[in-house]
Amino acid sequence: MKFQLEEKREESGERRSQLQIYADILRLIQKRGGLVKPTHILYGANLSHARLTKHLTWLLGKNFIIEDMSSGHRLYRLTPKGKAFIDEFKKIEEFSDAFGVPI
Amino acid sequence: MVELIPMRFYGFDTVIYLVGAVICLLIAYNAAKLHAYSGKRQHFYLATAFTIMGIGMATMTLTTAYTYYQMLYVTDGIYFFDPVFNVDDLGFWIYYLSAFAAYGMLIMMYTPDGKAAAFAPAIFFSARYFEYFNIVLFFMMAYVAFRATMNFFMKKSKPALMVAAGFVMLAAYHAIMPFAMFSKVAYVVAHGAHIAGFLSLLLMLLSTGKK
Repeated sequence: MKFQLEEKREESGERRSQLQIYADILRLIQKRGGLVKPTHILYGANLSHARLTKHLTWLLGKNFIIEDMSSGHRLYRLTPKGKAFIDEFKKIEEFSDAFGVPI
Repeated sequence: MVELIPMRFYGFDTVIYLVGAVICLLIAYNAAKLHAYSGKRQHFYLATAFTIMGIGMATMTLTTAYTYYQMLYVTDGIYFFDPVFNVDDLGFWIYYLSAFAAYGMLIMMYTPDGKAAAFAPAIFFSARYFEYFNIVLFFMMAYVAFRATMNFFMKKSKPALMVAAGFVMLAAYHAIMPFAMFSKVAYVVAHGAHIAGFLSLLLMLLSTGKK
């Protein structure tokens, strides 16, 4: 897996890697109870619609999230695999930060 | 070796190399996992540096264990030009070259583009003054320790402190080792710094592994 694109983190002025964006989206879904509307992700993760679509496609492809249409609306649900990724990402982020090498 | 190492310290340095090798390989495993996620060159350098360092330490474990075994249980007496020192010397030079390559990779990790040219001065000085290898290694590790310390002052986190302290201790090991020629105590103090450095890195690993 290679993630070379970076986007601007507006609130801090730092740039976040694509991997951090994926983790941010998953954390956002987890924070909202594991099931959210796409608009909540759009505003919460501070992304453009085009970028969000691209990121959601990647997350769906990895089975970190699944689409849930049971309520008649399109919602995104965090999977156990997605939750495991959040936990694993936290560890590798701390490990990377300890050496001062951005993830 | 007979001249430099206190008799009562025989074998302790072997244990220190073994512990160091295990810790290096544990860090290398975590760094490899990090690289698998990110694909970043800096993470590759980190994983490779600790793998190489681990191999160097493992070599020292085997060669010093062999040397002590020969000295204490096989030979009747030990002489300065005894062939047993050939094995010890071989292990030492493998360790030196592996430490040089590993520290070079850590320097590259801390340079913005990860270019090999970053440690070209170290290659030059090492080739020119190879007899002062500990001094060369000290300056290389001092740079790495400086960068890790700067990172700690920015992050103010416990794992960053552990990494900075670990690298400072490894630099201290190389700084003190040349004095082992003059004092046996220096050999013990240097190895104390060596194991303290690796234990500090182990603490970092344990603290980042917690959920």
